[in-house]
Amino acid sequence: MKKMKKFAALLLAVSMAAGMVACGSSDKKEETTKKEETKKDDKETKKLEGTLKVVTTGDAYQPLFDKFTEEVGPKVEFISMSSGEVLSKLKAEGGTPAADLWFGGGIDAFMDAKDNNLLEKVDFDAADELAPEFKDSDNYWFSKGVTVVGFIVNNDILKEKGLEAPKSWDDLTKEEYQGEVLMSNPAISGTNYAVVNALLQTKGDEEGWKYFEALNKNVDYYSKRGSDPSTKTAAGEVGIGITYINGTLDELKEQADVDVIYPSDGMPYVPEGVAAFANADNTEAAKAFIEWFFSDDENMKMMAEIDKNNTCLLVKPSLKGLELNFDKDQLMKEDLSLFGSKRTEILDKWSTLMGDKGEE
Amino acid sequence: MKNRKPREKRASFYDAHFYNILDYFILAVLVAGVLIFILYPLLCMIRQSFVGEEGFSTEVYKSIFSDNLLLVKNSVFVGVLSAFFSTILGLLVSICVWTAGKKPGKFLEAILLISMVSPPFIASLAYIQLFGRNGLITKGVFGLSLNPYGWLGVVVMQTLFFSSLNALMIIGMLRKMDMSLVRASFDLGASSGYTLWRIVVPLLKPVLLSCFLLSFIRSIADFGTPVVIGGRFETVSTEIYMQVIGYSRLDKSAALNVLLLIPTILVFILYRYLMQKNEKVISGNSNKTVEAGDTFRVRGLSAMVVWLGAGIFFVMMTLEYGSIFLNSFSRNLRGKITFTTMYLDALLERNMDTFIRSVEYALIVAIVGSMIGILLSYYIERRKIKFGGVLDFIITLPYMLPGSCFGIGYILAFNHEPLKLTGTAVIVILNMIYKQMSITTKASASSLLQISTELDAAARDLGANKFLVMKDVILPNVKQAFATGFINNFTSAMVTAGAVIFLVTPGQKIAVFTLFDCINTGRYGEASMIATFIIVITISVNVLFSIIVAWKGRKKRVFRTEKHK
Repeated sequence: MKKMKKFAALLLAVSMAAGMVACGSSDKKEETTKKEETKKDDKETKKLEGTLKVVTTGDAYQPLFDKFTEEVGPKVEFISMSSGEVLSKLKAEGGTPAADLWFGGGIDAFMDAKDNNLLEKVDFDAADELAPEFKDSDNYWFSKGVTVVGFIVNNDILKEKGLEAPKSWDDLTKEEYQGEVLMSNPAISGTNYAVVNALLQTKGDEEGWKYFEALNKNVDYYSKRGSDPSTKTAAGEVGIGITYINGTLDELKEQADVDVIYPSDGMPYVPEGVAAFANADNTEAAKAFIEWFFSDDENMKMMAEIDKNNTCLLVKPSLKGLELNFDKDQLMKEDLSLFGSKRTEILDKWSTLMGDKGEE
Repeated sequence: MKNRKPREKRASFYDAHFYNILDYFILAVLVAGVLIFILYPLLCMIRQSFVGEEGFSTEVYKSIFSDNLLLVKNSVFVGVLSAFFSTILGLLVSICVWTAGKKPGKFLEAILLISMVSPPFIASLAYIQLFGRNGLITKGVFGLSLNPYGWLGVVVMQTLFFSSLNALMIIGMLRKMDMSLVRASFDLGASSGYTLWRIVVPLLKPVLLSCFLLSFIRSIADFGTPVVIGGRFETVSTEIYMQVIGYSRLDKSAALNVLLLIPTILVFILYRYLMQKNEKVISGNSNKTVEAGDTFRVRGLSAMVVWLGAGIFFVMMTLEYGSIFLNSFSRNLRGKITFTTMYLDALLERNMDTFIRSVEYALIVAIVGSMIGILLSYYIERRKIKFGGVLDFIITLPYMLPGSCFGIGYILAFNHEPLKLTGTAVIVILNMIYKQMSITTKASASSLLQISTELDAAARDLGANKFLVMKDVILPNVKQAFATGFINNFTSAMVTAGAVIFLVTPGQKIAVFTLFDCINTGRYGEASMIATFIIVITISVNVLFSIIVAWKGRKKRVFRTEKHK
């Protein structure tokens, strides 16, 4: 037993020591990468070292990260997190983030992070080729594409109830759809936050809020995950879901008789951000990734293939060989600068109006 | 020979001195651990609620009660209902196992043990799939279209979850019960029903009460269930989740945690008080491990009640685990359920390293956590050190609060020198160890009660110092507590997601994180496969460990009796 205790003490001691060493070595890593950076001139031998830690939205980007490792050097380790989690974590970390690069997530979170000095400025040549409305004017964040919002409908459920599929946002408030519409809570889902913000901008505040109060009557509850509206519509729990439109919906089409609908009165959208964290262990690698990603068209095309959508064309109009799968005019007119600045105000009003505190 | 004696004495004097220092040193390390890795992070978290735009502020507290009164009511409402029903169900299940006879009893207990391994969210999703509007059972079998969302769904699911642990706790108590009372009752001509409800159940009152209180605390801190099936029904825990995940408001979530602490502390005080009463009942008759099966069969109406309750439980558990397993090997293609190995392939291809890491972490947590827990309970319960009650209270705190709060507390506390741990594996492991510490200390406290204090006294009289008493008298006798601690720690390290979600960094993914991720992105097939793997691994390790402990124990016992001869 004594041995065991010794073992326990040893284990604790070793693990703590390991923790210290790990912190120490990461500092060193930064130094070495800085040294490497000074050698930047001879491009042929330019290979960064160390590890690039990425926070992203899913593990599908593995091939893209592998390509980066092959061409530039740093090994990539990643985890997926929602933007809200990333922000909470960053704020708690007090300026010492555990990751280097943020790849994907609603742009409002990136704006919030910039305002809190959590992001690093990244200047590079190809930045000028990017559409100005999809990047920060000071180069603190960029977009890798946009998420477009529409509906998914379950034809079996609609048939059972004798309903037509809705064609537009205004259709959704029709009385016949009561209990059949599922939307995510906009505080959790960047996609559905885009819906609220964009419709408020399009309809004006007064009309807009009236619209959501009317819609509220058709929505039984607001789900707490962004993927719920599409998966639950496919599972036949509701007839209509308000959802992002991307490749994951194709798989749902295999599983159930569902259709994707592009609303006729315009589609809300939200840019998907990319940024380097300030004060990270390996900021250089994060910067290198951003430059690498936006400079070479092949990289962006690879991502388009993974995402199964070509919206990166909106971000970098000079991209050759890609075509949008919808008409650009279908997108709603949005002033993206209002996405970050109005977030708190909109969500506060939302939670009071939609009784999301569980009043019954 | 004569010359040796004084030398020996002197050696033992130095020895004693050394061991006393060692004794205090161990105590100091243990207390420091609790203060640094439980109290400090929680204080950091609470401090966050006083951080305003410009320094100190009590802004968030101004309206916290009025704004969230309804949420508190909801939490308490669901907490009371879930605690009540899960205690009743636990009681029925435990009586069923206890009276089922040896073999069926073992079988039912095995299902019970499996049901303790419940990966987060996935059970609630299985429930929606089975009983939801388009549910396989409600719609498929009965043609009903029910809405599973709301407070009722939360109560049903929590009742099912909490019943397993409650039943195991009650079974433990039943086995310690003095069967002579039951026999006496029969001899006096009482029916089995009368004996059950008037003799057995009243004896269980203390453990039933602690089941009730423990379930209440678990319900209040649980956010996974209401988030998945609460629908519009919100509790304090879901609001904390929303504040962290949706609004990134650490101050508000911290204040809400403080709000949640109030009912929790009250319940804790009640729990301690009741446990002390409970101890008296147990210590009266400690070493009787009798199965009721042979002498005691429940008949008539009582049997129907017991079998109905236990039947519902076992059927639901079988359905739940069956559907998780089915989901991991099948796809629903437009109404046709087809076999697939695509989720298995995806897992083998992408996630094997996360499982290896999970098992590594869980093993460290299980071994180190159990040892720290046993030592702590020895000092608190046996040695009655000063402020032991306070220490015990601090240890219990992380178990009573939602995981996210303990996770955020860890990031706040350990993101800078001298203890910069963020981004390391150590922070994840320490968090897991201390989150579950109270279960180990509680289990080993009740084990310690089985060892007569006279044994300590005898050893002391024979010249053993405090350290040697601990090493030679206490520790060999708390093997059962170590086993309980190991299994609980290992299981929870494998399945608990709350705090870890915030602490895991790129390159350190563990299985339960991947599970959480799959569920968030709507990949339920993959999530089910991961859950199946977690369940299989966890149960295998636990069974293996139990076998080793039982085998070693048998060997030792043989050795001892031989020695006595």
